Amino acid sequence: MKRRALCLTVLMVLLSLPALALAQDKGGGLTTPGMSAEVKKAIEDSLASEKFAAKTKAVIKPDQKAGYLGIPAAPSPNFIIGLLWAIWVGWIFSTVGAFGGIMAGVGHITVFGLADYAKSFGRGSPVNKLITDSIRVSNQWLVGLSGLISSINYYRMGRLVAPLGVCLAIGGVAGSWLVPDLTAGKISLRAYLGYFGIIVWVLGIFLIYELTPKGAARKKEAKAAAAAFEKAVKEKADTAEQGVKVVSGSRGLMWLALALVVASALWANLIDSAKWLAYILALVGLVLTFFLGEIRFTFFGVEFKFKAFIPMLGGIFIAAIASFLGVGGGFLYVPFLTSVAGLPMFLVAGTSALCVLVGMVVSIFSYMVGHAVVVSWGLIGGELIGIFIGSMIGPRTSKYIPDKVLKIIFIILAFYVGLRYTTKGFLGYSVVPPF
Amino acid sequence: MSYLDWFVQSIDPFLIAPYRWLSNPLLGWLWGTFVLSMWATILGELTLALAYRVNRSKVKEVAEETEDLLEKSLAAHRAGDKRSYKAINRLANEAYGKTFFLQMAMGMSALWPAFLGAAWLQERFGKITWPLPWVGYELNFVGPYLVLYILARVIFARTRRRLPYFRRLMTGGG
Repeated sequence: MKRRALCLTVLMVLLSLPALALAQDKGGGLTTPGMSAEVKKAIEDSLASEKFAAKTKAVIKPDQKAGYLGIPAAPSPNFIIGLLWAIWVGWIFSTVGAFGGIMAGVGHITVFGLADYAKSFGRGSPVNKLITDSIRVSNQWLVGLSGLISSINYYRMGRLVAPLGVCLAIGGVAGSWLVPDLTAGKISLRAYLGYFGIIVWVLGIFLIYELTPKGAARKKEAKAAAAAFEKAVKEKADTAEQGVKVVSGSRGLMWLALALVVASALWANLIDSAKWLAYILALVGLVLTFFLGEIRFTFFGVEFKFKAFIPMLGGIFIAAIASFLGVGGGFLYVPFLTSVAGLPMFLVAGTSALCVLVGMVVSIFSYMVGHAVVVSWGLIGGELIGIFIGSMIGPRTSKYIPDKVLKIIFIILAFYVGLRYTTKGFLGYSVVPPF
Repeated sequence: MSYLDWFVQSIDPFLIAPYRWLSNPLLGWLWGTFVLSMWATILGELTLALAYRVNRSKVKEVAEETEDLLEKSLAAHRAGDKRSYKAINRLANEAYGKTFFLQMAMGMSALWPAFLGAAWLQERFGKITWPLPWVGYELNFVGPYLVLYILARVIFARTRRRLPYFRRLMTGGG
């Protein structure tokens, strides 16, 4: 199982190589200093359109310094503000344990001024869409890295359940390429903001529930049940059967299903013709999971089981959201698998990290190779520095701030961010400052 | 000039030097990029070591809490106590979220030099491409850089025991 998990991870990394290599060079590479061919093409397409030509000429000033993506007069994210924001993201990661991806997304959209800049080209402008997609993929890079690190950690601990990961990945890979295929270049910044805002609202409502008397009572009940159980248990557990061992399940068919969806993603992104074949391959791969039946495995001598199509369905839905918005979906995988599939958290967390990684690799591949989206490497590198600093500050401050206070802070933030983006996206203006 | 531009220009003389050690341009590029990858790996590992050093008590605390809840949830499942199993699983979810994201944020500290390296490579070698046979696509710097970075990581992992500071880290000292 460990070897298969390793092979799968290596395969995913290798698949990402041509993605990274080809993505930046589709159309021939840089044609002017600092500006890639994809950016140049988007600008040329905007200029060729009567609807966008005037705005494009007004916004891009060739005599001014190049900013984001090498576009003259584009905002160059302020280093200090960017670093402080990234520190904030790292602080959130290391204290609350969630919401970090959303905050990273907020940074890309608002703090660095990229969203307003994209908007200035006009709704539907190719440059607007290119920058919007670049923001999405930048979010995905950060999230994909988090999936990579977590997957490596969990693999080392022997807490990856390969069949579960594969079933999730079957849905995840399909969702990760189908969504970019259907939406890349078609979603304007306004629509993206609106949908991003809705997800933030959902998170906020979830956090609020935990603070309600009912939510708090559930947690209290859980603690009482755990304490009662601990008292009742006398004998030591038999830990002879350590680690994950798969007992039953149609694994050959499972790997075939995965191969089909991966083939569909590669076909869709690398072959320009007969795209219908990619859709058919994906559909066959997804349908096959309904024939895999029940998969049973043991962990520390305890048997668990799940129906293969359940994680597949969850994987496709969650990866679709993650791919569309550029946030990881990790916060959705774990509650989905523990609540719907009834699996223990310790196995779900590691396995879902692998699925996040697979989903992000395929999604990044789809956007960057299939749709020639570009990112700023230096921006991501600088953000990682900030996240590192924040992750060191977080544990120091968390002992002084009660969990409840942290949750209240994030509920307020979630509602503010959700309200701002939803209204800005769907109404065209924000009802909260800055307007 | 932005801070990134300033950084890229400042570090350029240091990073470009290995590229000029070999007379063959392709070998020189591969060697220089491999040296860059090693620098990115070592700097990343040092940063990660610093993060663990600063956070070790917190990491230990959350890891112990998580392990404790794991054992309890498995014991509940083994005993057939579904109610307790679900309850403990719920608590474990919350405890584990903290471990998960804390370690993930610290893990990111190992990767920042690689991305800044990519930014420098884009400025220096962004226009260079290698045509791939038969498929009509061209490779830019990113693919080879990623391969060399992974190679650097593998070599580092296998040799870290012999490196002074990292050897001490592995034995729990320093």
